[in-house]
Amino acid sequence: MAKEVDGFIKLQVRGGTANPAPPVGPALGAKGVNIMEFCKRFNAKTQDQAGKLLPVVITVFKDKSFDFIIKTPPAAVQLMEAAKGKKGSPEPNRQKVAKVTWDQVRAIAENKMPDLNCFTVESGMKMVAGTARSMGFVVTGTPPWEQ
Amino acid sequence: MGFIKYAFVCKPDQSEALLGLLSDLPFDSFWEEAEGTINAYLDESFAEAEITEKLNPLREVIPFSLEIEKMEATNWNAVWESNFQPVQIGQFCGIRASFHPSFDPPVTHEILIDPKMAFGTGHHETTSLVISMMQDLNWKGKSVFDYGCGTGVLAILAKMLGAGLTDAVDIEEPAYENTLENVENNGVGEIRVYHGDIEAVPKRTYDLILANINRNVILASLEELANRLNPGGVMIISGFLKADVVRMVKAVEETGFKIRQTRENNQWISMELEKHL
Repeated sequence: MAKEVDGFIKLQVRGGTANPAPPVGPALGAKGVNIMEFCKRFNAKTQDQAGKLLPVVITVFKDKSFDFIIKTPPAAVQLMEAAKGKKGSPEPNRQKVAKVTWDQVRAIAENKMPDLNCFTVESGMKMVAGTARSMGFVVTGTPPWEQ
Repeated sequence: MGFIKYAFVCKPDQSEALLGLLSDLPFDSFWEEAEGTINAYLDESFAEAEITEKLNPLREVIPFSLEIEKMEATNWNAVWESNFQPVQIGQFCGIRASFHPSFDPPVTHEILIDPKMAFGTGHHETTSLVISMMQDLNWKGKSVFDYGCGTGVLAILAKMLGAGLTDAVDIEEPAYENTLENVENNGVGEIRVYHGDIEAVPKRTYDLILANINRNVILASLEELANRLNPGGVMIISGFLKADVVRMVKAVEETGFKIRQTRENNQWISMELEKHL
């Protein structure tokens, strides 16, 4: 019989570095989950992505056991890295400072395809470009579907 | 050490964009407690004014409300800890908390661990694998180094098995403090406990080394660990997955170790290594 789910916890944790400090400690501890067990498993599974911010969704069961899935880094975080750490513009409509190219948007969309709710890379690119604009970023060049 | 909690609330459809902007600040990790609610944390050593100054321009890109709250460090593992079950590795070793009754029938080595926020209660495959390997080695009078000691459970067991000089180190402060408490509670004599990375431990060599950590830390420390092991000495490494075995085998052999045995439990691997004479 399937175990009864108590709830879900959604965290963004850097690969290989989970530790019992907040947010992992208070988020999991309140549910009675063994924090150190989670850290050990998460860190072992993310050794190859050490330092990357990774979304992790933890399913907590009524018996305090847990399971988790690790997703690809958020598009917004990848956009931030693609813009080489430049900050989003404080005035996005007048002073757009951070720029990403359509090639970068494509690469992020392709990376995010397993997690995006879409069927084609092109629609994924539109979603990623929308996130970029929300962050005050400019996507430079002509989108491939207009070329 | 205390923490500062930054609770951001924005429109749910702007949550990811806000997270992306926040990821460029010193926040290490985030908790998306609800749609549009992102909690970020920093230890109290960060200047709050400096962070809020960096947040102001972001607010003009994505409007958000912010509540800042100071938090004391506490034992967040207390709920789990209050319910954890004792662990037994055959008749050889049993690990229980101070609120559990003694093992009945008794085990050869009974260890008291109140883990708080340190790793190493024997529940996890990595710890139980190492303990099962320790059973077959001679510890009498041997010098021992527990690298990444967590609760101190392995160093404590080594002392129970007759180890002589024993050093232990952990980079996590809660683990360092927890090892000190557990060593005292078990009355096993002196274990010198250090807080920090391997460099925090005075240079000397050992007969036996225990390294139950993870792949990356073991790989990064392998040469230094080899330098700290006497010729013919034995090291047990653990905390990595079956998928990492090929890489680990290559690294340990290139560093001058012979693999004496490998054990697996539920994809987790422990290896017993011998340093070439």
